[in-house]
Amino acid sequence: MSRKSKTTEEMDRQSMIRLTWRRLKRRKTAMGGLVVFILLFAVALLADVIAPYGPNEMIPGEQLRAPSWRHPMGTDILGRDVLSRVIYGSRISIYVGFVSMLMAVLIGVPMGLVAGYYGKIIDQVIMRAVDIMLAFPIFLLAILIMVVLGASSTNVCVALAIVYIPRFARIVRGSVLSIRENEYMEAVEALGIRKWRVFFLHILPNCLAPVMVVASLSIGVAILAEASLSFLGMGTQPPTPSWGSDLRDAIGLMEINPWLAIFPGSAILVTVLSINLLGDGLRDAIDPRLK
Amino acid sequence: MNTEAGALLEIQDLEVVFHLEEGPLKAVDGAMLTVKTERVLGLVGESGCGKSVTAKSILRLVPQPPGEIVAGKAIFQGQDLLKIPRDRLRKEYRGKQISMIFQDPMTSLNPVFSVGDQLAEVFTTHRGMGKKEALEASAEILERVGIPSAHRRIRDYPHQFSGGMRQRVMIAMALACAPKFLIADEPTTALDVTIQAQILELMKELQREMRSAILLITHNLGVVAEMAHEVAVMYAGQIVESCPVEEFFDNPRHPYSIGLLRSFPGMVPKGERILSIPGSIPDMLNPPPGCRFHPRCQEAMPRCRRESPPDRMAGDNHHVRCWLHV
Amino acid sequence: MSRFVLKRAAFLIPTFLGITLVVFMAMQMIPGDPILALLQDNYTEELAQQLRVKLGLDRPVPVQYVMWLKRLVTGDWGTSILSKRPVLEEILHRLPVTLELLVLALTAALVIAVPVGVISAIRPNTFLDYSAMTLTILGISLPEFFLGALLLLVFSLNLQWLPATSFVPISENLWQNLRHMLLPALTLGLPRAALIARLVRNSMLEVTRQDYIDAARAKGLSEFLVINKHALKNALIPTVTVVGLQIGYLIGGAIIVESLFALPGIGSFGIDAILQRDYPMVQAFAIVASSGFLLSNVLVDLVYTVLDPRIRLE
Repeated sequence: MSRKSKTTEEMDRQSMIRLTWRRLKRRKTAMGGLVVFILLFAVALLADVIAPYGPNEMIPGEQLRAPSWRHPMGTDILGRDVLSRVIYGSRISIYVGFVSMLMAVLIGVPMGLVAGYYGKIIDQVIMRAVDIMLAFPIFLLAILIMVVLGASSTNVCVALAIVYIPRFARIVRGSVLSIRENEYMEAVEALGIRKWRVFFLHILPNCLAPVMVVASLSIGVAILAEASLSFLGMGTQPPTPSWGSDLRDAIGLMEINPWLAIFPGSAILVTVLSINLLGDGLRDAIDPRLK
Repeated sequence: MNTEAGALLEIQDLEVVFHLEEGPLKAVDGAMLTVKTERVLGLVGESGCGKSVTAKSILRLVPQPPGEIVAGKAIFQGQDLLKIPRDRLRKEYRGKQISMIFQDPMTSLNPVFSVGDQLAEVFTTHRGMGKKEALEASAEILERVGIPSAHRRIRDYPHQFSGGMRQRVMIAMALACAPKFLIADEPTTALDVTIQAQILELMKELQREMRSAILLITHNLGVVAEMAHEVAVMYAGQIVESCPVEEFFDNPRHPYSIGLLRSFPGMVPKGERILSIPGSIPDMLNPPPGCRFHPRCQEAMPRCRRESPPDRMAGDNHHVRCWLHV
Repeated sequence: MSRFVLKRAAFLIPTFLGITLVVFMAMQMIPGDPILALLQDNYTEELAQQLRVKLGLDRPVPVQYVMWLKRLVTGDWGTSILSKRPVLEEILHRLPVTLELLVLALTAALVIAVPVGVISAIRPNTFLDYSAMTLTILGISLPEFFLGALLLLVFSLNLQWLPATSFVPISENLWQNLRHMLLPALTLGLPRAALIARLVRNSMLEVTRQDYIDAARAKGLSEFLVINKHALKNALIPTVTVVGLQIGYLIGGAIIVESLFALPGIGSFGIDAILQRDYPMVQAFAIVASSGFLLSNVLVDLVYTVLDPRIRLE
């Protein structure tokens, strides 16, 4: 890209998006991930329509049933239909995955832009804060924030957003710095184009590729983290259906009914797998060298 | 002179294909080459014309996949190197009878092992030496290629050497077993001009001393004039002309060879203009039909666009592939 | 040691201070009066005021931080609200279990990941490579608690080969201890192995394209030496960086695995402390875990210098 002139840069970006999509379409695993993820999204949206029972509907006399035609995934100790709980559980996972990612992007990206664009003291302050946040193990930081905020699904979103903000800030700052090194930026600045134009027309679009890759993969991390926090009793609180907390309840009952653990666990696996396949494909399609 | 008698290595109808996502790319297409005993053959051509792939094919170093040697022979002292078992090629030929020097000494030495370690490997592999003996031998050969205080420097790592010194190390490594044949792929291209002359001088000296033949790949005709006995010109995967070096400079036949000579500053007589060859090398995924060179050839005839010219003799030991010389 | 390590070590102190600051601030922000938690049923206004003065809670917050930091550094970590024993003692008591789990998990991860990555890389796009890479993407998508539950289900409950949720200290019986640690270590190690294997494969593919690999082959070295000596050592350099980052995930995962398998380590203890609002324990847990991550990064830097002479001799 660096040897291309400023005028062709806009065209490049258009064709880059098309090229990325073409490359992505060729990768069967990535497309498989996308299809599965869209299906999951649909399941979450249409939970009320699809689920045979309410998530907290206790069916008298039908506790701890094995999978059957009536209850394809069996029932739990309270006689709730596991299939329905797994269907409703997708809502929490997808909600946390997207909302936390969006919050992190909306705060982290501007932070990185400001740090990279203005440099000097602002950069120093932001990056030192980022370094300290990154010095914590990711899950430990989430736990610590949950301790402060208290357990709830929304707080899980906030905690995971805080965990991911420094990561986005760092990536964006890095891209901004490398873009500023480019010759065409010198040309743009020499032309006296106004700062905000430079910002939005030249710098921001060029940061998008790495942000998209990390954003897609961070949804997977967030879904895993929500499940893990709920598993530990610090995330989504019962009786709200969440795959992680349902699995926690199932562990003690595994000798009697292992299906109780297998279905919500598999739901997490399939969701995160589809996101990882999509994210991997996206990374390869955007830039094969970006690791 | 009998051409066959002195042949050390003959490459016949070599075809190498790279299977890429965009489709098959024929990097080498029926290349013919003869390297004579104790002689230096200069292989010239623009970058991307298949010189390096040809050279790597001799030792079967073409990465596979995506590369594949689909046809041809590389007969070295009566043995087709492309047919013998890989293990035999490795034990008897690679690094022992045939060595290779690479273009960029910055990347052809492993950064995480000491220079002595990398040199000693040649002796432990081919001479059955112990570690200590091999290091001793390494120091000696480093001294021979002109590295000062070699005994101390064998403990150093590649990044502690300059480019010229690294290329000396590579030469030492290549000549450790006194090979009969040396492949040198642009050995001076990555070096400063002053260093280039020193390295060429060293290679010339060692070539005479060890009586090795060299396949010298270069795009620098000055290097060819300095070093080579014979010249082969490669274009788009084919050898378009080959002849003794004097013949090449005095009486080039192929329009591409003539173009190369005209575009090389050192070769153009004073007062005449340097003329570059118009256009660029063809897209090897979709090579032009007929003669590969016709889109850039000022003397192209209708026939050149349709049919590929055959290899013909245009004088003593002078091969050329051009419809002008049929 | 080299300048590189010293330079990296120089970052330790400010980063450690940063960590303590974050933990301190987090503790300040927890809703509720800590005095209330300490005194519980014995709460009287007078006692509370005495305790506030004694603990320095009547001073400005920055002063409180410095006092708190001083106590932290001198080993006065307070008393656990639940067990009424010194926090430091409790932590030290449980640390070995967690360390053993981490070491076993990381070892398992590397022992599995490096060969899988290398074999995939030298036979790219073959059936073997595809199967290995399919397994690894499954591995990185598996939450530890689900993998652990599956392993428990198969190996403890069904096959009854290994004990389920119980524990034998290493000092008591090494063999029994390892039998108890096997499933937790695998649960923690396998997802990491999956990720590291993908990375080893990618960097091996990258490295085997380099000129020095061609040069090593041209010398006549055996393919075994070319791959396992010349390529692998270079491929391990970027791998080490990621393994360093993975230790952060490993520490997070240990919390979950210890809870799932009821191992008496710092992780499960920390979670109990959080759920029961034992804040002196919680802050100690947070500081020990993040400092451990910090120290492990220094270790990673040391490994780095062993592998890469360009850094060692800088």
